[in-house]
Amino acid sequence: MKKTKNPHLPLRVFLSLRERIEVRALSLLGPTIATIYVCLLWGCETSNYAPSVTPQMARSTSSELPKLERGRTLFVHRCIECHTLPTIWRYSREDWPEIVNNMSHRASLKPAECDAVIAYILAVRATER
Amino acid sequence: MENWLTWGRTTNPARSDQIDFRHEFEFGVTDKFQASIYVADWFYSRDSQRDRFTYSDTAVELIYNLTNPIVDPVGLSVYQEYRAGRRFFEWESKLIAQKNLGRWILAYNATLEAVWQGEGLSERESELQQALGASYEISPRCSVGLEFLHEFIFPDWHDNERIRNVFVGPNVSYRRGSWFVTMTALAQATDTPDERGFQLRTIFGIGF
Repeated sequence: MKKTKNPHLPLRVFLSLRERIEVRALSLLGPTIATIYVCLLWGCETSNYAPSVTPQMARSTSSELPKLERGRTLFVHRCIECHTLPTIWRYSREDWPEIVNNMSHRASLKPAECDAVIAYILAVRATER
Repeated sequence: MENWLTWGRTTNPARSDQIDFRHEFEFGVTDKFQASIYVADWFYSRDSQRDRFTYSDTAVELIYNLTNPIVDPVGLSVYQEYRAGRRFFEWESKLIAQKNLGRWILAYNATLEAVWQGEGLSERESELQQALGASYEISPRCSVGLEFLHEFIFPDWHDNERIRNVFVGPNVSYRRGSWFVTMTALAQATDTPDERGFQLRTIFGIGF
């Protein structure tokens, strides 16, 4: 017996294929957005807000390297708990010690930690620009 | 210390209101590790039939920072929270990504929640969430931002009902001295029954 061809079959196959593609596309949308977002973030360099410690910094300010490293670590961890990190150039060399001392209580910085943060900031200012 | 107050209104299928309260004490154990205790989570609920205050649970939260959002390409943290109450236990795990770009802070949270509740903790539900937020620091005291929340709800740990919720809304934060206040308004962009159509969250924090 000859089979009769269903005239709607190609349309149904097409629709079902389209639906599958739409569902697939929707399910991929979330991870795709997340991936693009992470890539964009990854590509944005912000370490210039807290430059790495160099031997030159230690030499130019007579500070020890470990103290400057500790100061940088505290600077990038404690300060961002309340606000975004300002560029070190935003305030003058004379202003920074007072700013850090004023915020030390909120950032739970002990006196030695405060000194380390100030030493790091002044070392960055002494060696750049 | 942070005090959370969240007012939520559900209008589908019937109108009801609920105000949730959380009282959190957070400790910086190290620069990379923070621990918190939520001494009491409780709520006030009101609908057409009754209104009441209910204690919900007490919780512990642990956060470990893997990388830093300033010196590393992306700041990543892992978050674990345990909540326990009367006939209630919840496990919540999060991966938090954050990037600070000058005055901008961008954040992405992926959350997995599992809840056991009821008689013999036999009722189960889980939830997968992704949240995206951007905030701009207008001044050292004030920030404004936008939040987007996408939820996948799995009643009885199954996805038969295919419940998906999307919430979106603005937030504003004001800080002065050792205290801060943050307000976030979220409206449901989907139309899921028994889910909050609107919620307003306020966090008042003070540092010691």
